[in-house]
Amino acid sequence: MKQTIPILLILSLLTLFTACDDSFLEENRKKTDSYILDGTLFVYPTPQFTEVTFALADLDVNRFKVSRYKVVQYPRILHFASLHGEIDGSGKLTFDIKVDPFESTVSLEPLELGTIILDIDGFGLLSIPVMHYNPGIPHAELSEQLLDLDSVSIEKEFTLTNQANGYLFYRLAAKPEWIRLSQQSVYEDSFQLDSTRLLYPFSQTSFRIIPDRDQLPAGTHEGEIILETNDPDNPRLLITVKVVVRSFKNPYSMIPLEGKVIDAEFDKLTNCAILITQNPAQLITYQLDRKEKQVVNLERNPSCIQLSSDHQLILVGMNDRIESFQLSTLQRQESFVTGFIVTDITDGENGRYYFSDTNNELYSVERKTAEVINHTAGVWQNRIEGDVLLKLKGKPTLLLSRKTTSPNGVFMVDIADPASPRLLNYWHTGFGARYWTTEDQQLLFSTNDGKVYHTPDETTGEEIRETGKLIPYDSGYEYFYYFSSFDHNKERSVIWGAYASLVSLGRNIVVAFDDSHYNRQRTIILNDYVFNVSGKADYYKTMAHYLFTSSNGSQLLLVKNIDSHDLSTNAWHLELVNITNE
Amino acid sequence: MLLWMTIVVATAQVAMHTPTLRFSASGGVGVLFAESGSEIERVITTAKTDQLYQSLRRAKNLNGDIHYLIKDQYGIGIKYIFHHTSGDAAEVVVDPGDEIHFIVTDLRESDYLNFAGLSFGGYSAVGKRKRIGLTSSLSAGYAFLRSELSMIGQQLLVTGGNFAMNAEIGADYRFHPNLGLGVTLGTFNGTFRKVKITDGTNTREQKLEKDEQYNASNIHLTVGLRYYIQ
Repeated sequence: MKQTIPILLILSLLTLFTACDDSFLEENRKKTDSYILDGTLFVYPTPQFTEVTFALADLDVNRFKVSRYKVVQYPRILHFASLHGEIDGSGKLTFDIKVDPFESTVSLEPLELGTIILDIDGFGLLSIPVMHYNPGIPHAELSEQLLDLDSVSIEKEFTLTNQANGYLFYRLAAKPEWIRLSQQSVYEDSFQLDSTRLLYPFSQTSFRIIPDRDQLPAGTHEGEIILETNDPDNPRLLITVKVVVRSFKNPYSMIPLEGKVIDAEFDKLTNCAILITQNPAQLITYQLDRKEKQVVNLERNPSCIQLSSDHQLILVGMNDRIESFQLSTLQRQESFVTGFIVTDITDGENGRYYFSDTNNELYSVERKTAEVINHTAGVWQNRIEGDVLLKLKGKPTLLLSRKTTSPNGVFMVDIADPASPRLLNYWHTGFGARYWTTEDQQLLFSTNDGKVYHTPDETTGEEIRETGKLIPYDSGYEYFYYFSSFDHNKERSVIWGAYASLVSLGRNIVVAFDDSHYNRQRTIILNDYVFNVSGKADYYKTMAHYLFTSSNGSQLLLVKNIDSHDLSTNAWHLELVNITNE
Repeated sequence: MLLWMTIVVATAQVAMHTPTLRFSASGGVGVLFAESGSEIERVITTAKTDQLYQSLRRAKNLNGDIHYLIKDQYGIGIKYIFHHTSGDAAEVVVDPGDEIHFIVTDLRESDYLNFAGLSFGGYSAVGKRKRIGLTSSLSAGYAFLRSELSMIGQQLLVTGGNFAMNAEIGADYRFHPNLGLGVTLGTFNGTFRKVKITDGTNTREQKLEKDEQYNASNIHLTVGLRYYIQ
């Protein structure tokens, strides 16, 4: 029994020694490997547990083995369904979390919410950054869906607007190669394909589109600008871009003319235009149906033309001469010596041609005898004046006017006695440098202001009755709309007017009106004309000085010249415009 | 078995004398008075730590003493007490105070206490054959604390020492003139106000605030073997 005491003492000491073992402190000296995941866990408030999966294959976490992990740290707004779990042999880490609601303001910068740290057996500590990203929800809008750069525009602009509280990211996903995009607010900027830009909430930005026509063949080209955005309602914004590349060649529908066009007429019976030019002195016909141009050189400079009442002859007034030509053959038929420049001429349908000189004096020549009579001489009250003549069809009546006097004055002359014209009436008004009428001559158009009048007759009182006005475009301040010529097409019930634009106005147009209420039906912008100046071809604005429609109203023939500030030259040409279906 | 039979036969025939020396070796359990002496601040999952604290209140107790009876009923001697408490809690969530994170940790704590001191003891034999001895002791000495902590990935050793006291009452049954069995109910009183903390590399001493002091006071019930020398 005496041995019992030492045994008890030894047992007690062993217990004491066991309790004095400090080896557990060695754990503090062990180094733990730490890794930061090359990625971020972005979270949003969720009331339910949501599965989150990471692929840790790149980290070589105990490859091909199942590893256990423990969560050792996590952001306090997170809740883990379990604070431990497993990573499978392929490195797939999965856990379920839910996220408490938290204040989230729209910001471009991610909100750092902390770090999850996992202690993975046999691997070490793995840190997973946790962030919240709330760029808001933008709303993108474009100012334009179509940008037409036409043939001359250097650039066009469109605006991208973000009308909501969200950052708008937009990527230039596509654009035609022949345009360059430049952001207005960025100096020497070029918005490159596949690049992404940012637009702040409730803001807008503008882009210039600059075409590079040099790399394109002649013709019309169309392409699309596509912006991909983070706007959920408008993930793709599309703008169609058009550009026209000129060939610096006039199309076949433009027929160049030599010299300066002095006067033009049109015969609707044969669809034939008749022109006279100076320098060179020529008589030109252009047959619309056959697209055939005929030219006859004249011995003297012509000054006016008119068709005979039977539409068989072209009467040409010229310097010191009146000549007539067969419309169909352009063979000269008659020649009368006048001794002066004939300013206008008309067929009196009484065996005489009536004509005027530069002194506004009225003459006639008897076709059989070639006798020329001056009808202006007489007492001044009955003096007949004019260098503009209009023979009213089926009536022994002439209307005279003065080109360069204001007002032009309207003289009504009775030619029932062919050799002794008699002044019937005079109205102190005018309709411009030429009488333009409807086909039936019932209405007169004024080139001064576009007004339409009833053609005066013997019953017309002191005032020539106005019936309407042709207004070529809407304007808040203009009242006088100058025209250079008119054409009435009875078949289509259309009145065409060639607007006499000032260059500065830039309204190089011809306009169609209905002949009942004079409403504007259609406007055609005149094509530019390629003209060679000092060896360099360029496009020039044009203006129509005469216009004619074919008898069926399907074609429009324009007699044009270039219309330029700095270029005063003769580049006269015809242009044929098909107006069938428009 | 032969020894046991011999002892029983002998005791059945002889009346016991009061011993001169009494050796005691006992083991049992104890309950610490302190309720949450190891409380960790900012613990979120308090249910787990509450469980840990309850584990830490339950102590295993070993003690031994030797008393020389100067007179028939009292004497002096030395007293040794060892008690151990431990507990752990897995996946305890703690707020580190950065306003952003929670930390998850496993907590483990093992506390060892060794006490040695001088003891004043009493022994009163009762009964016709004096087989029952009523015992008591009051000990004063020095107590050594060793606390092994594991928390938030760190192992810490906390040691300390202080004067302490122990008081016991009990009863012995002498089934042999030299041997007996005893049961003791005692209370230990000791608090540690100053500790040394080390992680194996760095060591620091820390004076504990009143609410941080380690209170090892407990009540314990032990049973054990007694050896008497006449």
